[in-house]
Amino acid sequence: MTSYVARRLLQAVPLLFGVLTLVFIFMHVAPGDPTALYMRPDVDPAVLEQMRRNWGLDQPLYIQYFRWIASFLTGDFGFSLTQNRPVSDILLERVPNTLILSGTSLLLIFAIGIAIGIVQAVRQYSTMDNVLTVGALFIYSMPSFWLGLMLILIFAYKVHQLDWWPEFLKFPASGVTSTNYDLFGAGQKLGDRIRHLVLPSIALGVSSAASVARYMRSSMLEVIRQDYIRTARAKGVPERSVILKHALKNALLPIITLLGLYLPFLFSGAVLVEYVFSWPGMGRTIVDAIYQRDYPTVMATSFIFAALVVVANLIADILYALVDPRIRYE
Amino acid sequence: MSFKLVGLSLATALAVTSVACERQAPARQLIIGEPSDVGLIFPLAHRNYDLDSELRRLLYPGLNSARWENGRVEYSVDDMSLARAWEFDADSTAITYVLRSDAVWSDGEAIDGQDVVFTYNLMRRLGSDFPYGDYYRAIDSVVAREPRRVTFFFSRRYPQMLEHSGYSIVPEHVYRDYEPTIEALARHPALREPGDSLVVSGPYLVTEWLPGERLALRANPRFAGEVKIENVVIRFVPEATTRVVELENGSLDVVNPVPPELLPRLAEAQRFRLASRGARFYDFIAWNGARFEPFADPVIRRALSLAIDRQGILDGLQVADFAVPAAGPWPPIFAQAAAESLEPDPYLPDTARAIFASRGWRDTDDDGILDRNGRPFRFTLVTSPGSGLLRSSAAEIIQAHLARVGIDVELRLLERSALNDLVYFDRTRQFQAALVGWSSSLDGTHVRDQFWPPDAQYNVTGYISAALDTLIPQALASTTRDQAARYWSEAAKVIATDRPLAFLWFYGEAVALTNRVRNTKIDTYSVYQNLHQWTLQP
Repeated sequence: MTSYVARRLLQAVPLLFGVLTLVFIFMHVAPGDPTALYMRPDVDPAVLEQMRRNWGLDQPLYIQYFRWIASFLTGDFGFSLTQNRPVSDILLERVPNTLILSGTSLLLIFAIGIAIGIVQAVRQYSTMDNVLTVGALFIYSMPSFWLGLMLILIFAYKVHQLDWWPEFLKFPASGVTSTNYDLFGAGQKLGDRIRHLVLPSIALGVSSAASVARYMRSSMLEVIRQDYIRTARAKGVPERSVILKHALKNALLPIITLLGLYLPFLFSGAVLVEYVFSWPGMGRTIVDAIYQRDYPTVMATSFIFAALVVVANLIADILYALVDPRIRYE
Repeated sequence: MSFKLVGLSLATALAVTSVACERQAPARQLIIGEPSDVGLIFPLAHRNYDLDSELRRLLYPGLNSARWENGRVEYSVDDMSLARAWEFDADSTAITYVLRSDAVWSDGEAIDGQDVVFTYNLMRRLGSDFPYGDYYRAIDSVVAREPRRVTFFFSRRYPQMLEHSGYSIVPEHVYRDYEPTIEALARHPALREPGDSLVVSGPYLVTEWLPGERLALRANPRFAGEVKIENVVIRFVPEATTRVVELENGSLDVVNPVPPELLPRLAEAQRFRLASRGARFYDFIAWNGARFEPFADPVIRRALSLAIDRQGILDGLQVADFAVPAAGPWPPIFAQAAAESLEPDPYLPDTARAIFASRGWRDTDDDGILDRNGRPFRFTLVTSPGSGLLRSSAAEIIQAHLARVGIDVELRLLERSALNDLVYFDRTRQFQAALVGWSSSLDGTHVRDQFWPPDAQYNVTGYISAALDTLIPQALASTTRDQAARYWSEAAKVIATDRPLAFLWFYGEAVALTNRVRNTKIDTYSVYQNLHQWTLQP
């Protein structure tokens, strides 16, 4: 297993370089200029030109690229052209926020998706199965950006106008914590963070949960038609145990592979959801950096995203081997 | 078993979140929603962002204090200025400021003339890291002969002397040992993680900065004036709808700015008020005669202008209360503009058609599009969505208006940076027509910046005018603001007549506040200029 992991990580190196090279080329050939942030009529165009020279943007693209690679390999992500701060400082602030949001959404995706899939499989062709199928397709087709705005309008605005609506189901529309977070005790702090996570993680994860439910339903249906399930039932094992103990384990095997598929999806979804919910994560950072042509920040954020996707895929493969003894990696 | 576990987890989560709901709101805390984060909180690392400017003035006041009054910027000394008086020398090429004896940095060090000298020297030494060269270019030297007297020597007398000598002052004792580059200064611990260690001189201290999330300010106990609201939190909420929803649900007290499309919704609500910042911005269509020959003819440009129903567009977009049709580059915020009141072009499509016909543009092949010598009157109009006063929607309506007089307009939407690059940065000007906007300066100099000389970066249509060749040098050589304003105003009239651009409308950003926020002074100059005097009703 160790050699397999090492080999996979080594294989990821050219992949990451390929991703970074493409991002570098796309960013630099796209029209726009980071000096636009300083563009004002009273700023002499010669000064803007000097800024470009200071940032090395007057050099041929390949020189800029090799310079960036050289500093990147020494662990220097550069200096943000627009925030006037080291990019590494920015990443240290933002990466944990994105991981928290994506991690929560991932939990939500699998918890809800698996639960709904089981119910649908057990009650195949029932009214509930049909309703859940239609609901899942409806939710699956909703863009996360739009869903986020709808959640804000309903749970952060409309319900605030209802006196009878429970206070704990009124959610904040944006941010990671409340402005008076520092005044809270430990329990309140945890609660406050959870409250701020609810809407963005639903917006980010619910459509994927609908798709997991579809996979889970078909996987479960396949498993519960197996002979060993019939045998368990014949032996008088309670139906709940048949489903949750005997069938669920095997039905989960194909679902685990989805982990590797959904993580990139979550990271790309985070770009929009973080923007809507003012969530200070990497998605919002990369959007702002792209708009402002902040090349060092875009490059560093892209690298982190790409690395997280590679690692997530690797984890999914390892998990698959752990849960399925038939799989052997060499 | 599993279901029990899930149920138990849910119950625990609900209990924990319920506890968080019973939070105590700290008394006298004002919460502001702004779209973008601040950059480095250092006045000389200043980006062209409104919030950067506002915070710079709030945390680091300059020697004088400025405000918008009677249609122009007025300078004075008050609790937001580090000086208590100034005087010009006999030939008005030097200003001596007398510093307040009670002005101290937040760490207790006295503010003296050396801080002023250090700040202005640092500006020069930063080079392109401080791109706003106008602030020091005409200043020969800054000398502190006594601790509380500092003199600015200028190369000549000119209208912006008070503005240029009134820039934010930074503490010498904190930053003197740092290399004069923004990259080096950014490594200062107080700038890297601003908190109580950030030394400022304004009414507020920075207590916490969570990048991308919020900036918390607390009243500076060493500030000489009175601060009415003890705690201010600026939250960064990029999405406009979220910002407005948070105002409506009580999470925010102030939203700055409110996007145009949400203004009608807030204007109707009783719980809020909208403060207009004055119509300082203007949207226009730049006609590039170099890329589409008919635009080189001023008569054709007039006909195009007559074919656009400005008021109709503002009414249709429901922003008529927040914008006015424009006649030229001289916005109504200026006193002279109010006095001269140039009339915007009326909507006269029949006249426009007649003018086009007089220039040989007729629909000879009955396809609904004017043509001349077999060439249709067809061009591409570029703009960017989500900017200005609903520019992409306005562009669609203008497209329809021009279609009514037989002109075929193809719309092309570009992302804002790409549009700026195409219109402003790329000097080959590879566009035919562009719907873009401009912010007028507060002293009239934008008339030069945008229209003179013909090869200037922001003179995007390459406009040439013999009258401007006379008027603008006269304005630039003026010694007083009144004298300069007369020349700028004359130049604006020439431009309005020549119509190198189709001036569409003037508009100003609006700030929304809950009614419990009082005593605000919000105008075209600043939103937070008297933030320390704002009050919060219970």
